Amino acid sequence: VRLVKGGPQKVRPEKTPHPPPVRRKTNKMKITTKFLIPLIIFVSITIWEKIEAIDITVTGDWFLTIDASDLQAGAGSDLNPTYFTATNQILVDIINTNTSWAVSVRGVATNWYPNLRFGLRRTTNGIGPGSISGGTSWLEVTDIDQQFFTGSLRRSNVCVQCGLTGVSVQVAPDTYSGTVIYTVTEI
Amino acid sequence: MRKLVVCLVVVGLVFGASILAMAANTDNHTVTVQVQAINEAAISGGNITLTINTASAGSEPDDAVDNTTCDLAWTTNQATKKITAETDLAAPTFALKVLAQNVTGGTAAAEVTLSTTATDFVTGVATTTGGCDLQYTASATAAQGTGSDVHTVTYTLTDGP
Repeated sequence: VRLVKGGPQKVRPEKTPHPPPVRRKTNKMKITTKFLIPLIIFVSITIWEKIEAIDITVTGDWFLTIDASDLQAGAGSDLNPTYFTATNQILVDIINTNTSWAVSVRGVATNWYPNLRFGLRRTTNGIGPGSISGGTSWLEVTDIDQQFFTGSLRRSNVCVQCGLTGVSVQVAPDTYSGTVIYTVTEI
Repeated sequence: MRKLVVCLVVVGLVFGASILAMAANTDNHTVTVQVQAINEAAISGGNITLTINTASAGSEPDDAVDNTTCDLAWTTNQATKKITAETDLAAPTFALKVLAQNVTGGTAAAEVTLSTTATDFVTGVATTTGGCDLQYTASATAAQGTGSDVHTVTYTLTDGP
């Protein structure tokens, strides 16, 4: 009985054409084919998109001081209501794109007086292979994203002028500040 | 099980990388507006001369009054302000009084007999522009005789209700 039982055990390897290690390698390849390759493709595409993703760079800030020298006609008069920056106060660059895009803006107030209204307008077309349009009229910045200007391909040194209105003696002495967020989106 | 893990890894990587890619398309600048305290007052009209030279028989000399020559204007962007008046002449021979007339941007106080102590002239001045006519009244008694006083009158926009 022992011989009979031991017989098949000895010949089993000879009957098996594909040993277990070879079978595991096949499963691995299937997993690689089904998941790892798409994973690598996905990650590669995403990284490429990251490298090639449209980007916007905004350079410049505005610090405005209002004092007695801003009175319209000295004592007894109110403050000048409106102030402007230089026409090139803010520079905007749009890079890493080969298609059309739109730039929108919104404001986030840190401390802001309700009567103060802040606006932007584009004063130059900038330079680059693409085109640019819109945004040359004053746009009041609010806390909601609004389209500022549109264009295509790369544009750099797009000049933006800032404006502030609503200033009066009713505005209490304080430091008011906010952040203007520019968002570029390919369209 | 392994398939599920791989799928989750793929989704996680792609989602995470997408968030990174989306974050790159914004930039910002700041806007800062610093409003400084403004408290300005100015007199227009120049110097004024009051002459007492009439009287009714049996009465003290008539007052000399001028309310058309000088005006005062002010601007403040602060709350709780007032305007005071004072003279630099410590011991005048004759009385000199001043009253704010046709006041805007504040409330006239009672007529002020000028002294070297600052006295309320206009109160309730707050975040406003304003102005008034300055009515000066010079008084003398017969017993004071003749002479002249020269005052430098100072109006100050200062803290106060």
